[in-house]
Amino acid sequence: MFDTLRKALAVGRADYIEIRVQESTAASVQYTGKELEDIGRRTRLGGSVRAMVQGGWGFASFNEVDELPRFVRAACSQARLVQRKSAGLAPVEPARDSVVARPEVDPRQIPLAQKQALCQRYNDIVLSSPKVQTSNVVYRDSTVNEYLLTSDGAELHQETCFAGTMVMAVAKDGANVQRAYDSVGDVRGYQIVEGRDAVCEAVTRRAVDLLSAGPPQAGAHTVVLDPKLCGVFVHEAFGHLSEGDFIHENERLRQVMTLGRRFGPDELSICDDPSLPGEAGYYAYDGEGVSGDRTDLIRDGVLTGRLHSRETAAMMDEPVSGNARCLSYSYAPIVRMSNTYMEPREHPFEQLLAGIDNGLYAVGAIGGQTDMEMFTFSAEEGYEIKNGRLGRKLRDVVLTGNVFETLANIEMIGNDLQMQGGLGGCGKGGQSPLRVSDGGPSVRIKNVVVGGR
Amino acid sequence: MDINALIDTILRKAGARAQAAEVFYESSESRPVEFENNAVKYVATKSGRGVGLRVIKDGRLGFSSTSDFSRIDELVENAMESAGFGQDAKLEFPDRCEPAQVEVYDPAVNRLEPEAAADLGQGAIDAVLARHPDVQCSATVGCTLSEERVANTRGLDVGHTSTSFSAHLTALSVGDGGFLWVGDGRAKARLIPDLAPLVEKVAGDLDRAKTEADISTGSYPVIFTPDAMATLLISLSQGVNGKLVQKGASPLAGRLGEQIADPRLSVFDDGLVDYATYSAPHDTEGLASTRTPLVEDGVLRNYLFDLQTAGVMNARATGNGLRGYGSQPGPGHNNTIITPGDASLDQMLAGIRRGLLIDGVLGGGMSNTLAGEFSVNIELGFLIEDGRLAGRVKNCMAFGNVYDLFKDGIEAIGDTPEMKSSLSVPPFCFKAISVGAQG
Repeated sequence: MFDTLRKALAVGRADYIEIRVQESTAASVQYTGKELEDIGRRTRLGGSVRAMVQGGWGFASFNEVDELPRFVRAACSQARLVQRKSAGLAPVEPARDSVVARPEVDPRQIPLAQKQALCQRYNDIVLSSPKVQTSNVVYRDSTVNEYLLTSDGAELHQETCFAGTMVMAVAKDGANVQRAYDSVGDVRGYQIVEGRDAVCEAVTRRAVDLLSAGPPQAGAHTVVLDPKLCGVFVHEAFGHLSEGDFIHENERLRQVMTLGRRFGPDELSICDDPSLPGEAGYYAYDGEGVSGDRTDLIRDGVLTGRLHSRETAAMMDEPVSGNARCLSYSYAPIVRMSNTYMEPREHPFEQLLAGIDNGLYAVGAIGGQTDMEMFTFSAEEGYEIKNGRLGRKLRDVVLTGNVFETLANIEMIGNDLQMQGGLGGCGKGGQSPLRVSDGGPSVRIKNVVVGGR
Repeated sequence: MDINALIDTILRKAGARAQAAEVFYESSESRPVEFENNAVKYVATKSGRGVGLRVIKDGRLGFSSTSDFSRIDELVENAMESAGFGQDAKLEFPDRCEPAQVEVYDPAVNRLEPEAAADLGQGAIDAVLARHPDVQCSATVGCTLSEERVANTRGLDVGHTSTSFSAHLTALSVGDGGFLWVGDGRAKARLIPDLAPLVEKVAGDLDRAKTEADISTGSYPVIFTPDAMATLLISLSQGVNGKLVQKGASPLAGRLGEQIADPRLSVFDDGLVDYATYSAPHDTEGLASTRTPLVEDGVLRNYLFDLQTAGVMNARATGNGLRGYGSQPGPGHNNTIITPGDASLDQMLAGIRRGLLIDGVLGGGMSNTLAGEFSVNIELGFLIEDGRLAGRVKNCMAFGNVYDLFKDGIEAIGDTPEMKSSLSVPPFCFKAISVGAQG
């Protein structure tokens, strides 16, 4: 493969050229309600070329891998159309490596019939409840072999093997429809999707219980987030602000995100770490062939680092972090998170509740969105907190706020760190879903706006 | 690669081992020019193509797909394996198609050179900067040429070529109060030679947002602009989706003919609007596109179906079988058209002593949309005082239930619809919507 890539690279003329070819095989199974909606295996082959000429980028993606030289020329000539100030690319030691995926149980060795039987069992569990109207059970695996060659001398083969499952229950009572779900997915191997009967039962119970839950009281509350929602908050509300592409050319934003500025209490530390083995956001090298290492974003409440591609690192004169990633060959790498989490502290969950007279415990996440300043999250479910104890179950719990104020309003950080991968992922720049994991412990925050009825 | 030969080969190989086979071929080439921080950043060409193979074998559906045309035998094998587990086929592939007459191709889009696209985008950015020198603009201007083919062993072989032009413009303003994003976009099959409306919208929003206003938690009359209406229509769109109806998950299941909304509300799914972004002469199963009433005078009229879902429901397919080559067809939307009402925006405003105008939301589609719930951050919203816009409101949410609002909550429907891409909708004024704020 590299011979073909080298020959193609030779026809291009640019300051920097990057050629990527990906071969992949994938399997999926999906039940919706009683019906098996989708089952099967599929194959993909494609590539892309990225070229930089004096700071301007050209990009070509394609399936006709046998016509690679044509696309190298196209990307180079497109790059010449762009005139742009540039600091170039931060220098890195060119990676020459071959990284083979090492799943504990290789999903490619599991027959399709076994994957189907697993989904059917999970689906039967969900549908066994009379209040469940319909279900959604998805299994997905994919094995990608990527070949990357750059004009800087990188020659990199990386294999990734991802497997995961998602179980959703939809309960219905008249016009009242409620959903609950759970998802796992990472690069540990097929074993992680097995033995989840109890999870399916819990999901089903949660959806049914939500039918009789009430809405929260609208207004500003002291809120305790569970580890899952804390992870979503860390990723969505704060993590995206740490991405160098967003701030690198913008002086005023740089001022807001000045390293050394205090963002939260001393207890608060947030980091991004692609090197965590097995996690959904794991990789050895990023999409530019840069080694993926841990980056401290907030340390003891103070902004200490951010995520970079080679270009944004050069622009901001900061160290590369190995966070340029692309969803697939049809996209150019952009600055992305990997495994992003808030570090745990010593407080047990009960201590977080103690002293809250009238608050709210928000659990899980249906989704999250941010415009950098403002975030909005939908919790899967919630509970009232009355006099330091959990009370009535709540639904339609949506939290919103200003990220800077909210980080500063963190009152207490728990000891129960959990990382969450899954079939979903990050959706930045239309490159969705990119496998990431996020996490944190339970965390208590004051003055968060909650939508209710 | 000879596509005719490819399709023939697949149909022959699969047809020999199954009762029926269908190939869906899709290819596209798009040429986006991307701007970041007020200048061109990327000139790209993104091409892609692939085939999906659907078979009916021993009465069951099987499916696989590939973009690697050297692995056709594996594709056929995978589809056969899939059929070993697949659903009972409740459809017959159509043997012919009379494509609908609709314009989906503009040669000017196909001819647009990257230099010209770059000039269009830069012109729009410069026009915004002339009025607001301190903002950072990003933009994408691009065109796409797409080809679709569907052919099956019953003799159907139909396809079409379409163009698509899109332009998006965003400005970011960073002030003491934080970040403000405003943006606008258009997409259609035809070239849009003048981006002045996008400039006016973006620059105008930046003007309007300069003043800030406070609102306290409570219930207020609210005007949703066409841009903001898209969020409310998510629930309705899910509600009439034949698949969700079949699963019993839609709250509209079993309610055809029922008065579900205000008699002033009429909503159509329309695949026949010339040059609209979701128009096509036929769907991805080879059924001619149509205009389907979803809600007429407040009465629920139809659900949207692909062939298999219609078969399961004993209903008629509506020409809404949509997919990419990598997946099986499912019910999907063409363009959504809402019949305008009789109120001008000024009349709506004049009727409000204290309320909100919501133009952009964050978090749409994240709540329990199936049940009609919405709970959104008001990203771009303005306080209305005595019929006038009195400043941008921040840090607040709007929430409620779409079905309740459409049934009893409509104060007025605007007389001027806007169609920026696939949605043609006027502004709506609602009598009362709950707002949560920090105050």
